[in-house]
Amino acid sequence: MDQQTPSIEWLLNRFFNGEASAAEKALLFEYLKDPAHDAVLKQWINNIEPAKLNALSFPEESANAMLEAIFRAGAQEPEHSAHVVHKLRPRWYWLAAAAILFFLLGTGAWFLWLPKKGNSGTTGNDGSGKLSVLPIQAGSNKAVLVLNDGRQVELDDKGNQLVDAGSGDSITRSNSMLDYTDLHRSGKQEGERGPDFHTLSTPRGGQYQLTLPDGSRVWLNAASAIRFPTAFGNERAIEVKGEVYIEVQQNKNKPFIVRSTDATVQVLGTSININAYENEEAASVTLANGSVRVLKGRAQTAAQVVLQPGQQALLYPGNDKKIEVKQVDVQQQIAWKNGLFSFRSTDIAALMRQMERWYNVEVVYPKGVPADRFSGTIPRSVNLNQFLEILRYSDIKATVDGRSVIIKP
Amino acid sequence: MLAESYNIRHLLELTARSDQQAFTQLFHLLRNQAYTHAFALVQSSVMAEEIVQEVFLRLWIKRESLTTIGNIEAYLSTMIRHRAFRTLKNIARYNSILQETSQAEWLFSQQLQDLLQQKEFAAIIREAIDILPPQQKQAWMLNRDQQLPRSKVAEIMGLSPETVKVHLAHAMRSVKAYCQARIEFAIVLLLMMEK
Repeated sequence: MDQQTPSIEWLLNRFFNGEASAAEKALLFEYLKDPAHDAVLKQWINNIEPAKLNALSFPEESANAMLEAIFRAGAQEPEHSAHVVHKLRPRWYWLAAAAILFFLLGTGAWFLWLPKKGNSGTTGNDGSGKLSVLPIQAGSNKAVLVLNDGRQVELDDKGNQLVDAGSGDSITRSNSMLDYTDLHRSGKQEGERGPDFHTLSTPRGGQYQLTLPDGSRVWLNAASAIRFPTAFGNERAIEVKGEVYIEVQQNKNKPFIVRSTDATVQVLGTSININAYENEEAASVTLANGSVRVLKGRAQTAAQVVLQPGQQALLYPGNDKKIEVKQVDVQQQIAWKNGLFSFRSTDIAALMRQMERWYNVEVVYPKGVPADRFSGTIPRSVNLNQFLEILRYSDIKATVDGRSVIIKP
Repeated sequence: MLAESYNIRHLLELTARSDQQAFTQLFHLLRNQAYTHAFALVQSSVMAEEIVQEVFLRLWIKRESLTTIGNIEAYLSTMIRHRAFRTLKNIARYNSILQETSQAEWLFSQQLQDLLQQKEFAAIIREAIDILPPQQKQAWMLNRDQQLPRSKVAEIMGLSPETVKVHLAHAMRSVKAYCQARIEFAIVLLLMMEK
């Protein structure tokens, strides 16, 4: 080799540092054609330690499609269902958009579901303060659909079915997802009657998914609700409460608008997480991808802000003049939709409120709220005892008594 | 994180019993570190994603033996290294071809025809297409078999071109996953099909 030609070690160094030019890469691959260089390539690969790398995020939007493809490829037999609806349309569309989280505050007359004080799934109150013998289970896929005429339909995740939506309509349900792109309309033609409005709501300890008539996907967290028309007109407007993550299907001609008590979000095409629980300090809108305009309230003169990906808008009730904007870890904010609790120096009270909604319990602080903070990831599938045991490793002590969790300082 | 290792063990046990939800959570817990590692080794987000898909696909296929794995993260790292090595070797092998010919030339080139003719490969692709959901399958047939442009496919299927694009992307991902499950190290070949 003359002195002008770079050595393979030099090229490998450039390549793995992300600094190699196209010409340098071409040269490197010329070297790598030769099996004589396999050993040095392997050596370099082995020397890169995953723990020392700057963490990257796996592209959020690829996640669902990838899981679907894996389950389909790994199935023993082709995934055919005898049920006729499977042949009509694919279950969901892949959206390049971002998700919006809405945090909605306040109550609306249309929000019919009321939280129940559950009293099942626990053992006797022996007063000894020990953890329940029968641990409280994690939440599950369940929801209630309220139809246009007020009728309620309970939904779970068992198998697939056609849900009777009244007025001769049927909606496809696949496991824990309700699909409105597949609405079977019989009876009157479209246009002869106005749009029907449905409300999908989750109880505490519930979660569910929905595909809107335009293909936009919605994930509902516990104690949340969404009200939407069964067919979109010139604009796509929905109302939400609680916490939802939405992947909005791109459509320049039909603006997508999400309303809550305190906020209006105009989606300019993407995925957002909206957190609007009544008992949180502020409503928040987190943008994963794309662009959204957030308005406080509904007046034209309302404060407004345009968010960039990675930003979160905070709307405090009673403060109409200002919307606070901050940078957040989006993955952490939307971890719930991926089946995880993700805490990052989260204060105990906020952590406990998430736990309350998912396990349908009440937390009490006889000695006040500890000032501790917690960081970590916990799958949402663990039962309450396991959840509390994990907190115990971080010196957060709690006991369970019936459906109450008592925090000890 | 102590919390995480406790839960990974739990999720592995459930996955071994074919619990898709548990596997989904496992995927979400581990996907970022897998992607980070893969990207560092192949320096391409597209290929890093392919490696992550292959690796998790393999985990799912071999799920019954997952509880015998001591350290899942180390196991994943080893698989990623192995696949990264093969990917780089494959790129090296086909790189000069990719550089010298245009996409159209490559699609009709003899080398590709030879590759696709290999009976096993063609049969697997046919199977993969056969199990696609109806709209993805139709979009694939029209676009790839009949060589119709996306706009024409959209017209025939009565959908918008964007929706067709989405169906095709989904179909491609499914076909790739199916092939990856049955052909070792098929990454580069499939990437070239996509180009």
